[in-house]
Amino acid sequence: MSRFEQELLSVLPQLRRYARSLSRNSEEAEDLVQDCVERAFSKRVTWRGVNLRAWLMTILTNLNRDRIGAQGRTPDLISMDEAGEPAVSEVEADPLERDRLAAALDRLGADQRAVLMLIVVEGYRYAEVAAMLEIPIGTVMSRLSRARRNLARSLETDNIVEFRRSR
Amino acid sequence: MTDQSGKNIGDDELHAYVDGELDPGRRAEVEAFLASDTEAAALVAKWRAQNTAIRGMFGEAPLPERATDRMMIRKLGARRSRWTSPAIAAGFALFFLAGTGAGALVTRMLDGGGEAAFAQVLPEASKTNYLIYASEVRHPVEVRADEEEHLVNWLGARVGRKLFAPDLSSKGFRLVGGRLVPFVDEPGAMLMYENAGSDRLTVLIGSNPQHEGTGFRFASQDGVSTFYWTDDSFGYAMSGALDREILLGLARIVYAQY
Repeated sequence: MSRFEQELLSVLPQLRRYARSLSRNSEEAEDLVQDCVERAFSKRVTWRGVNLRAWLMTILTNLNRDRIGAQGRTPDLISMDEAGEPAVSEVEADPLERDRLAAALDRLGADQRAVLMLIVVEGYRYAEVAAMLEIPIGTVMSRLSRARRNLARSLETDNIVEFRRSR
Repeated sequence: MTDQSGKNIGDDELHAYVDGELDPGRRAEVEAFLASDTEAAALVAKWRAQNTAIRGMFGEAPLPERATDRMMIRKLGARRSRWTSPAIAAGFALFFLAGTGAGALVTRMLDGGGEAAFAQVLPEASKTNYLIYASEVRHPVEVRADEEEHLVNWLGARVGRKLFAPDLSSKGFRLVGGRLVPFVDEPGAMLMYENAGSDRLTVLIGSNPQHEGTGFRFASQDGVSTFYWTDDSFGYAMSGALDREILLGLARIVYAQY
């Protein structure tokens, strides 16, 4: 394996975690990871040899944005059957609460969700996120702020776990 | 919202506080403010609860490397010979970078900066050529193989030696064609071959300013394998996203014929 491939392999677990935090289910997350790896190979010559993890996170963020749009998904597009398992690990939390959180996150726009996850789950600093996404730090903060506000609003509404209708 | 000294504490700073972005001094000020402002304290508590819930959901230690990950990387990496347009653009970006780098190397070389320089430029230039042209779908070459005689005469005249296209059909590769390329500040000749599986390889030939022969060498970078060698007048390099052994078999044929 080349150095590039080895480094790719070593950051794949983190990349997968980030993909899961952006996705509705683990299949979707895995698709995202694979697309990202493939894109990474085709863009490999533009990698400057430093911080592969951040470079991949940027690629994955953009792919996800292209896939679902900056504003996020429209609810009610998929049925419960199609939705599959939530993209979460086994956690000892109230399943209903977990579903509520998953549903609330799915309502966030892709841009807001990405910023929230990069900061909260991946532990990046505001300035790092700004550099990765090539946006001003003020935009990072406003997306974060809107993400938290929208999330709170969704969680405070009672009937979050709507049954998604089959079409 | 203001703190006790009258400085504004906005939502942005509360977020920064929750995310550990404040320096210790400001953090203490915000904490003092939160102790007195229940509304702000409730917001902070809410965001912290969100963070905890989100981390509980996704923030587990990264999953360990899976056996299948290695295979996936191999598989996806192997598709690189079928790159699409963004990769081509990226290839061009590299080409210019590499061109600059090669120029600098040549300058150093001419300044007496070490006889290894041409041998360093050669595989790099060959790899770059491969990355740019082998990914082209419609126009990988300037002159196609059906005009082989014209191709080798033309390129030979520009490079300054008699050229021919080595026959690699015993290994399943046929000539696609060729083009004139810049090669270490001189015209270079590039020939491209392809097999039935659409794997491509490029053969690059250009004059050797150092007039010194080297042995047969191998380099691998960015998933591209390159065999290269020089004689006292020319440098030769073959690149492809191929296994070393396969490329070696092909390179032996070319080496034997040139």
